[in-house]
Amino acid sequence: MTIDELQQLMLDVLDGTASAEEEAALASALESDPTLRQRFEDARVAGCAMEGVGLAELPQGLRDEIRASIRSERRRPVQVAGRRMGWRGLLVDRPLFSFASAFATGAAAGILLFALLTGKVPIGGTTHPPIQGVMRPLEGSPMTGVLGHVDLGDATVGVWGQGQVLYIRIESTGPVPSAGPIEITFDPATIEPASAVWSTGTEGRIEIAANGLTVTPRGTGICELRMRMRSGSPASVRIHPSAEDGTRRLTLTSAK
Amino acid sequence: MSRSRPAFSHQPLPSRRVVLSEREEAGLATRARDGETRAFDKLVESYARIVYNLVLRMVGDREDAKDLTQSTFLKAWRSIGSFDPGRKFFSWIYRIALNEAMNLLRSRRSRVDLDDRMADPRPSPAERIDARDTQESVQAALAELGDSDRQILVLRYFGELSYEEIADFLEIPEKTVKSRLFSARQELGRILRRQGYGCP
Repeated sequence: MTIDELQQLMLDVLDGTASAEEEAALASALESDPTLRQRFEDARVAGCAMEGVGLAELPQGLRDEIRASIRSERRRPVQVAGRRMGWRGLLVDRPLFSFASAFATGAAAGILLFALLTGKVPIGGTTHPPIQGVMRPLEGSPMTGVLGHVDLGDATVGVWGQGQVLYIRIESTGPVPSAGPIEITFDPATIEPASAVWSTGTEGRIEIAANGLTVTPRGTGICELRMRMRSGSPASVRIHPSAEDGTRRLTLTSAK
Repeated sequence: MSRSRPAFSHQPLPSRRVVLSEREEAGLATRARDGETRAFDKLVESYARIVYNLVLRMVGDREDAKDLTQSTFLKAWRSIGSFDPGRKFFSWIYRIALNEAMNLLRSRRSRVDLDDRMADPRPSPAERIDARDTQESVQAALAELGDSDRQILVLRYFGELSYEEIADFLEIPEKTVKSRLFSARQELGRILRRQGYGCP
């Protein structure tokens, strides 16, 4: 028997997976070879000790600390250059060309052609200037990027994309009761909601209809929405924020 | 048919890992990859203890192990977008954990070198541990092993991986895993016996 075969046999015997014949063969080999016997005994002691150790308990609070650090990381995607951006900020702080360029360098294989479009609409009591931009992701490269961010006063809405998935994160910091619901409307033929959860804080309401979602915050909390393009082909999505009768609305439309 | 077990063998390792089915794990990993923090929370819930044990046995210090466990999951979260759902999540997170542990060991070694030059008479990790019980004896003995021996033992006994999973993890043939594992056990046993540790 080669040394490899002997090692294999000793391991099988120690694991209890060797046959009776194999055990007998090893017993015979051990009897005639003191060096081998010592090696076997060393391995046996090690196995015995390791199995006797057991798993250490996780330090108290560590899971919560991990979750907290993940949550604090989670906030980053809605920040650019260390601070939040409003619609104005998209143009003022990051001109369309550089935004498009930065976006393109990190853009998705999902070929999601993304547009942000807004008119001159009052949101959260503030009138925002018109902003329009088109960002083309590069084919074949991973894309994770902030596409836009809007401040609604009592809540901020961040939008970003990855592949053909569109993420909308509503972070409510507002009063209780809230300043009003936030509607996300879309064409169900081209866009479908994939998930909608309150990931942290006070859970508000999420109502799902055929062509949209209505999110009503209740105090401080974060709602995470995930949308998916139904079509695998190149698509364009426009987001149009508006406000009417106390309801803030983000309209997602597909544009060829 | 039951088979009598020889006196010198041990029961196969019990399954102590917080087991998720492959389907559950893949589903959670995919959802986490899509940005769902709650799915990632469940993975943390399932793997935090194992990851903590892996790094604890690699570095031998509870405070360091705590920090490493946290940084492992944070790194995993940051790079979850690069996770291939076709792979096993536990294998991916183990790799991050062991890399983190190895980085710490390397930085610790350079610190020790410096300490040596400054003639700092600090005791070795093995000496710092009073080997009064199995847990401490084993930890002290593990600290004396080379990194690759310690790694394979830790994967087997604290990561609770099968030979096949270790082979997949280390990208070496299963036969080589067994050979390396036996050598590592032999070396560990030699150290333990020298310390007076015996096995009934």
